[in-house]
Amino acid sequence: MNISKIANLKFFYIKTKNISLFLSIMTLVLFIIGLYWGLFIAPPDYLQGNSYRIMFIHVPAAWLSLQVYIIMAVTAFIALVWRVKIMEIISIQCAPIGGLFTLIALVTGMIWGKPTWGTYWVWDARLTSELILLFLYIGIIILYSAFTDKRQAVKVTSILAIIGLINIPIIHYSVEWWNTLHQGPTVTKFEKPSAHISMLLPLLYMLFVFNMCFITILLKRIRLGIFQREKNTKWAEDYLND
Amino acid sequence: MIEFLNMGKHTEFIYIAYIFAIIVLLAGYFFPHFNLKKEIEKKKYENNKKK
Repeated sequence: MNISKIANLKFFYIKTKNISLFLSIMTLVLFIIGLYWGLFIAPPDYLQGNSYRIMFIHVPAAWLSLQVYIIMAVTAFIALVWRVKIMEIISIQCAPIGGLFTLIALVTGMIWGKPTWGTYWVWDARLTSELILLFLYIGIIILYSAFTDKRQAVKVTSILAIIGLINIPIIHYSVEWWNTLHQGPTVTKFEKPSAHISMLLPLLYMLFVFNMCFITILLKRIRLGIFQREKNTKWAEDYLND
Repeated sequence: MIEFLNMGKHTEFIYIAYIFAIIVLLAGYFFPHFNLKKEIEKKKYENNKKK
């Protein structure tokens, strides 16, 4: 199967129908396993007790909030330079998903912060830059919906997405560049991880599951985006009549 | 059962965080799912009206 075929909107829309259902079921099963592992199998932390279990959803959501933004910016760049329709759709459909992951990261972080730090929110560099990321996602969604000409909208939102990329290293390195209440890197210290293997494994598993969630939701959103754009074309009319 | 679910003094924080994440992810999944269904029905209705 070649790339140009996948990039064909008609081909993508028709062929991904069954894949979408299969992915949804698989992700649900993997997610339930991850919840059980994180909540009931992983041992409690010697210092934080059970409240650290929030990390099993907070950390993957925070990682995905950055990862989705990078994917959005890269596809936006490709859409801007080469005018590939599928990339335009992927780029704009990433924004609401990235927004969801950022919201989950912020809210679960706040919930974890209360029993651990004694406060829901502090204006430290990590939390503030993550909040700016949420505003970037919301800004891109609002900007896109403000245009009636959607191809023009993609151009403008692509530029904003690429400019906003500057925030990603700021979020990632904020805990090293500034003195923050938020803890430093735990998982990415590969030579000597701070977390015990019994806690690291469910965390990495949940990271995989959150990636599956992202792919599943993205596929749904791409299919919606394709239909919205192509519903008046001949192939879409023919497909609906079949 | 309740004892099995008990997470000590921070039980409510843990479950609120998990439930919030699940609700947001489900909303993220079902919004495009039902939106696509609605768009297809609308298009089919328009096509039938034309006939």
